[in-house]
Amino acid sequence: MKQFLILAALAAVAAPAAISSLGGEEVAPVPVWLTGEGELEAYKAAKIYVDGETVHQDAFLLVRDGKVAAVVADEAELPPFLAITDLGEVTVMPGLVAADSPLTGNGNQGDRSMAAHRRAYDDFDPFLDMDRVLERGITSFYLSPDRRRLVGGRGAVVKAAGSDRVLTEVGDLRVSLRPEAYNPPVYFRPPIPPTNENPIVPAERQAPMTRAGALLALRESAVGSQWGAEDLHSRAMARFLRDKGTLRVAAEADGEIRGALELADAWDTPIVIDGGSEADNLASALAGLRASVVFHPPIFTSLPDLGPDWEPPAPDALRKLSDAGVSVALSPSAYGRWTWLLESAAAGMAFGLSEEEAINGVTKTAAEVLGVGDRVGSLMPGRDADFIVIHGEPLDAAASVGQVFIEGEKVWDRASRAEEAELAASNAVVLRAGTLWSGDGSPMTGGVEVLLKDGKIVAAGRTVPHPSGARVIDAGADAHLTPGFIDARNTQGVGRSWDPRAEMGLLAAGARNDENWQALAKAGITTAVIGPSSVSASGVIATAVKTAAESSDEAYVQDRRVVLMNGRSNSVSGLDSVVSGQLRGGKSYFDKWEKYRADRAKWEEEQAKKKAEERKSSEADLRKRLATGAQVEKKEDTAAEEEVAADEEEEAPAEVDPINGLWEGTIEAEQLPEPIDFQARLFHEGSKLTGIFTTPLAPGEEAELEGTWDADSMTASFELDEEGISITVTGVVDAPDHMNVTVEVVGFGSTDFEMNRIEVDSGPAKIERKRVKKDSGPQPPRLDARYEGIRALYEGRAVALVYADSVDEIKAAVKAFQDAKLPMHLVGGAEAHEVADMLRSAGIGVIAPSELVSRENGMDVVPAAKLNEAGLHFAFQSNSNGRRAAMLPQALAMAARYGLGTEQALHGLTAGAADLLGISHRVGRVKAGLDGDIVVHSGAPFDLRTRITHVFVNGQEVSQ
Amino acid sequence: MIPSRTLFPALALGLLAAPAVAQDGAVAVRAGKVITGPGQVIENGTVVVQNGRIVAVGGADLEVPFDVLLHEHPDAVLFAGFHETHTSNGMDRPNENVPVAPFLDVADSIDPVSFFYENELRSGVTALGVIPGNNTVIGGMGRIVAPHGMTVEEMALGEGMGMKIAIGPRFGWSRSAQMAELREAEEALNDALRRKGQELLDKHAAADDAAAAGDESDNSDDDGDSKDNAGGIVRFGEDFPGKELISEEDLDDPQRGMVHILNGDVKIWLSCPSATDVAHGLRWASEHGLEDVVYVVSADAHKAADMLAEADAMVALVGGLEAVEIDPVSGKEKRTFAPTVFAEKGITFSIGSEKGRMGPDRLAYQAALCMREGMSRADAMALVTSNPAKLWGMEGRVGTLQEGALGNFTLMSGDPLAADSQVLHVFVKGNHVYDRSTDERLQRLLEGRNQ
Repeated sequence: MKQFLILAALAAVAAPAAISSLGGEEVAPVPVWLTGEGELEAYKAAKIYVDGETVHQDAFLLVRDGKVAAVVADEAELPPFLAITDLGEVTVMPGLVAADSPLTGNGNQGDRSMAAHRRAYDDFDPFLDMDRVLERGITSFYLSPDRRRLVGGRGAVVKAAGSDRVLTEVGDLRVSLRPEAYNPPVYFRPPIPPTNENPIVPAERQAPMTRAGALLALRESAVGSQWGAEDLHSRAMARFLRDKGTLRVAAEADGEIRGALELADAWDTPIVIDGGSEADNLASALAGLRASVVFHPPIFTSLPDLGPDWEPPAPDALRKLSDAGVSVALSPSAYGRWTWLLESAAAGMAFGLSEEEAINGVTKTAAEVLGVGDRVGSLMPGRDADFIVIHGEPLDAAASVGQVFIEGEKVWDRASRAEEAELAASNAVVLRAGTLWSGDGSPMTGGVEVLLKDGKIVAAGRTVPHPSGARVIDAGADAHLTPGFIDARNTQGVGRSWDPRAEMGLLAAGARNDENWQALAKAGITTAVIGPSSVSASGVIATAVKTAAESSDEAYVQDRRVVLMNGRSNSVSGLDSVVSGQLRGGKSYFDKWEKYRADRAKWEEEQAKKKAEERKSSEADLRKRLATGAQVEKKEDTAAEEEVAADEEEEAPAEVDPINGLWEGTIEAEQLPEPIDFQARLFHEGSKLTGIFTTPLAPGEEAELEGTWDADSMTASFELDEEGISITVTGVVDAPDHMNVTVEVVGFGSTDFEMNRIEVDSGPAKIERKRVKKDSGPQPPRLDARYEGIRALYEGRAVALVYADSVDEIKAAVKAFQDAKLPMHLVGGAEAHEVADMLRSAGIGVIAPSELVSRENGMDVVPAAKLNEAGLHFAFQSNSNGRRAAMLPQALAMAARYGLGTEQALHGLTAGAADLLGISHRVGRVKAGLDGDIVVHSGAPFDLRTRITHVFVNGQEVSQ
Repeated sequence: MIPSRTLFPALALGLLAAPAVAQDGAVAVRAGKVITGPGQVIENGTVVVQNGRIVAVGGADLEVPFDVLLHEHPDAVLFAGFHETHTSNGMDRPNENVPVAPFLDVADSIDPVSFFYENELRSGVTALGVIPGNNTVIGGMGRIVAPHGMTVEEMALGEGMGMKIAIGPRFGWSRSAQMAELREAEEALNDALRRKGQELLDKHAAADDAAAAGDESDNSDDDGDSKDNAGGIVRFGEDFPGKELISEEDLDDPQRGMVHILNGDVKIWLSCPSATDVAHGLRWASEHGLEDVVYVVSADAHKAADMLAEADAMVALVGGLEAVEIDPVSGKEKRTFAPTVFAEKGITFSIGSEKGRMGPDRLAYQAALCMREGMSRADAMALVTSNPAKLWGMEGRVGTLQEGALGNFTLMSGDPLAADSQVLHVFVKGNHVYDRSTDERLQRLLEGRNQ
């Protein structure tokens, strides 16, 4: 029915065509591929090789019942309603045919020197993993019988996958005239039972010892088989000679090839020379017998010891053969991997083959040499639909096989291999394009490659290494590669303010799966300096993070921070104090920390010393005790007794205070990722309540709070005011040693939990004693969020970005920072070009305003262009987040158009920004060793016609 | 009155014959638990054996004939004993040097006093298939024996086990050499048969001529045994002149063995250690139209499980239950437990013990491993009891306890598959052949040397 419908539709389409061709031409017959049974499948590819010579561009491969139906170049010729599988910008070619393989014939050799009845197929392992074979595009291969025997037996040809893998079970007869076949073992089979007629005879010595002996033995054997010799070999020989099977002779040297030709001539069988490194000398003789050659171009995995006599084949060896009319199949030499067929085809070109012949050498010709040319080796109609999908040109060193089809079924797919995918996640990607912008200066044009591996750029240049299994993305000759863009000021995921202690990396963790982050990454912004939108004079901390990260570790570009400070002022008189005042305040805060650090270090050292001494004395004590024995023990006993007495004293009855003591509780709330355990030691003096809070989550840190205690309602309460957020904690003791607590964050909500007293203190005095007893050394100063940023600057962990526009603001800020010897750059810098000299000499750069093109006096002005003209370093900012921030590169297109130039704009968005922010050792350039952050553009960057096609962050592609 | 001169030799003869009489034992055993077959349990069951065969299986109330001695073991578990499907132990050597030896029979090689059999008995095995090893092309005939008896005849259970043929290459050979040797043997036989056929035709023609000429005196060929020279022994392959005239006595030993193989007269134990061998073995068997074939495989054959299932093949898994492979792509080690794969595909198979490894050298351990890997208790027990019997073609005679089966069973102190169960008694053909309490070697081992 379906068939009928298609034909009916076709008739309808064809009718007008018939009318239009009234010029006497007959109506074109229905193409043969439309008439078959079974369902048609169509594959579309940019290039389809029917064989080496016939290549169609943008064509369709039609497959029916596992056979090739046709290769059609014109879509109009396709039957209607045909589902087409678009393979993309790839090359489709016939599956490769390996004219030789080491899978059989190399192991244990039989003990008969001549065994025409042996079959290589018997040694075939159908369960062998074919992954490494299919990966190389091989769909059919030869199985060799024993190689080190004069007559090894019959070869076979099988497929690498599929339901019926046998092409030829009993194929050519392989004979070796090579010295490997000399000196076979003796042959001995005692008769069972030995009788007078059938006695035990000595073991038989077998030929050959020499080439002459080999040829003699072969001739004798052939004659013997014709005259009724009855052993299995002779019978197999007779069958072979009768059926005129193909004779495959391993022969390299001139003499060996001559011998082979003599045999073929005498036996009148088709002949294939396996090897033939000197065959070019006998080209015409070979052609006369219509011989073929399986040539093994030297391909090496290492530098083998080839012996003193080894000579490479002549550079024009294959040309001569081919010109004489000898077909040449190509298969790698034993020194290379047998699966490197495409490589050996390329190597065959080095010996004079044309590209067409070389491709045929591993497909069509190879299939013909193996006697299976009517089944495989080309995509002619009727052949098996064994084809491979290649990314790139077949003989290009970088070409990689993407998919393999056997009899129309996909049997291998690089992408779908789980292990492969796992590798691809962290491993090699080769990007190919026409132009490469490294981030500095002029681009490299005329074809470039970049290799990303393990998250880093490994190499960039004209050509790069292609590790095996590397994914190759060829963006085409028009494409441009640039470093990932850097947005020097972004507020993604942060509100007006941000706790300086919070992990910024956590914010970006999981960015790979977040829409807003993805918007940035897809726009090519791979790194962004994230900070709160509101900037105070004392500074806020911002951090450069990756916009497509899985984890916080991956997100950080480095642990260096950026401190955004506001250096703008409305009053001229206050200018001085704006920045310098803050820096002074920050300095004293920093000093406090320095002092604490020094004190702490000193204290720890002392502690260590003390401990060492204690250990020493206790050791000494032990020694003494061992020496004096009982005396010491007695002393200890009295000490213990004293302790007991002291305990009893403490237990003297006193009224139990309802609140004093150590309390324990767990806060559980939906907002918290996990419950927080904490302890509070509370004590009160009248209504004044003091609480010391500790939690195992922050060991060693204590928070001391002052609150009130209402003995009448048995209520304890604390109030905190942390950075404008009011928190009230109210606890009501409802039972002895039990308290219900409510924590209310004013304006946000509240949470309830319970606390239990686990230790009762009699009063404050005891607590004090306890605290004194626990000497935890110098404690850190109180955290001051205001000055954390400046502290980071003084500690050398950050670079400052100071908002300043007017000359006065800039001067004041620069002076303050120079006095404090701290690094800074400007943000905004509307008048920066006016003090360019000063800024240049101080090495200060400017983050250009987010308004990339502004209108001044009726003219379009690009602030960044002014900076550029003044010779200042500059970077760009979006000062925004999400999709809006993602417009930055597009906005720059206008800036580039109105006065900045692509080179400068790109530098500011990549390398320049990385330099300013002090992160150039990780990002900003396409350079070996830096992070694998690359943007692939369909055309020139900052051209409005250009699209971003791929973005890589840390070597991984951001899904487009 | 019989003179003493006659009486004493007669008595002596009677005494000599006594063991043969004792073989047909009569005994009844009542045990706390009787496992008659996989998954079939009788609490407080009774088994009655007469003339070496089980005559009744039932509960505690089963009537025991007055002349049958009843053993009572209320705490013991009675089952058919473990069955070792395929072993090449207990012979003077596992393989001959000659690759093609269809004329061999392990009956000539089994050593009844071998310590191997004593040890098997001690571990509760009641039947073993002893067959030439796998390092051969055509290995010879195997025998199914009990691990008890002073002669091979006494040990024997059933007629014969079948012929060993190896597809997996002999040591140092490639498979193509192995297959070529097999074909060579076959072709040599075919040649010999054709010559023999022609020879017989000529002879018959000569005889006919002679008869026509009226000479009836020449009848020297007829030795009177019409069965042996009736012809028609060759029933395989294409017809050729004189084929039907060939009789058993026209063949020598190797030829006779080969003819029986190719006729399909004997069960074939086809050694196919690897999955590849299985593929080639299945092909060889189907090419020759041979159906009574047991595939002797290793755990690697799990890859060919689909092929085996499709061919409805019987499989003996020997030499380890687990296959270890290295994934060529990831380089990771991959372990596959073959019995669960075979079970999933519905293949009839048995498992064997592993020589030289403490634990796996016991069938109880191997079956317990199968349970650990997810097989049911009944299925795991079947692998070492009833399935070997199926593979041997002795279903109903060994492997299960039922009326008519041989009186072979083992009594254990607990669950047969538990590590701490002990073999207490073993009965073979109704004879009490093993008693732990009188096992001197074991006692010495456990209690130390006395004296």
